[in-house]
Amino acid sequence: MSDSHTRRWPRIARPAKALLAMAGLVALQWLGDALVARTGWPVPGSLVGLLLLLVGLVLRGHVPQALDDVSAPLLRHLMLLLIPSVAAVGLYVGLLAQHAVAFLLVSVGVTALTIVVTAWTLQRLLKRAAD
Amino acid sequence: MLWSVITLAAYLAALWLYRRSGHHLLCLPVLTGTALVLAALALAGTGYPVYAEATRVLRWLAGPAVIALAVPLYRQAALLRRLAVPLLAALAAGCLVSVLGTVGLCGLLGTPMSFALSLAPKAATMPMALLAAERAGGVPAVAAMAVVATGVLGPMLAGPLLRWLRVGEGQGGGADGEVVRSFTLGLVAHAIGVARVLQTHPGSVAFAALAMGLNGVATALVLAVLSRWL
Repeated sequence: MSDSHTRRWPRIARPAKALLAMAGLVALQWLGDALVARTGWPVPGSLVGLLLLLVGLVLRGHVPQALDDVSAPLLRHLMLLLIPSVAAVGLYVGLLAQHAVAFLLVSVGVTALTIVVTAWTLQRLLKRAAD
Repeated sequence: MLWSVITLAAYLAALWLYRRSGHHLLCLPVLTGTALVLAALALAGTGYPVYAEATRVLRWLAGPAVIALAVPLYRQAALLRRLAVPLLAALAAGCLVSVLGTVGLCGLLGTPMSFALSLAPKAATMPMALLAAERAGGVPAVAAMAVVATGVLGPMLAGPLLRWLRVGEGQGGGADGEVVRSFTLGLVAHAIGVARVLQTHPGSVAFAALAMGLNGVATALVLAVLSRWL
């Protein structure tokens, strides 16, 4: 009796812990939003939540299983959560068409420049570190 | 509720199409999924504001999902122990050039500031770029288009540009070259760049993932400071 009890426990405990981890992410979102609203920092509340979680993970030294169980599916299907925001593009077709040349020039030019600057900086510093 | 279910169906169809197409870039689930939703909205004669209200829960969930990005970032941050100075310096340089270069070039071309601020986070991972653009006073949906364009162009431009910089050439340059290539692609082309590195240089994909995570955070921070200053 007690044997089947101990065997069944982890199966119930794991979803329960995952639920708790989800509640933790939600709490971090609220905390981030509250901090941003309170201080007026122009950063997204989720970014504050991300940084708080990162500090927590560094202090803890590992990723709890329950947090992994929740974050993996959330991250895998992030695009589902973004579609409702991206669908607003229907409202901005005119704006995009009006500035299509700028969009194209920025997309190609700045992307190329970013590649060159990033790669050049890293290449130089790695070489210096090796010498 | 109905529109959330339709969005889920569109997403699943988009995923199926993406796999069927052999992960073709023009079949990215966020593009085809959005196209399907827009088609459904047009068919139903429903306006975007109604749809946005109906999918509030989905949009809100993107927040906790962004927070969960801390998990992979924490795992990859172990790479920083050995190469912290070169990697963080390259991050700072690349991130600043991308954000300031975009706002500067948009200014030269005479676009409205809200348009410039929408394009500015284009190298960041999409969920972060949407939030950062919105908070800075840009349009998230326009940011999404710029993020996709950058992700597609980045790996295309990286080949010739890195050859021109002679990355990976010279004595003992092979291992360093792979780090430079992977980190650069992750920084400039977010998830699409990481996917490309996974195909071509799987051994160094962690550097691409690290660069993507770091640049998401750095871009949001730089854009926040910039939007206050402008």
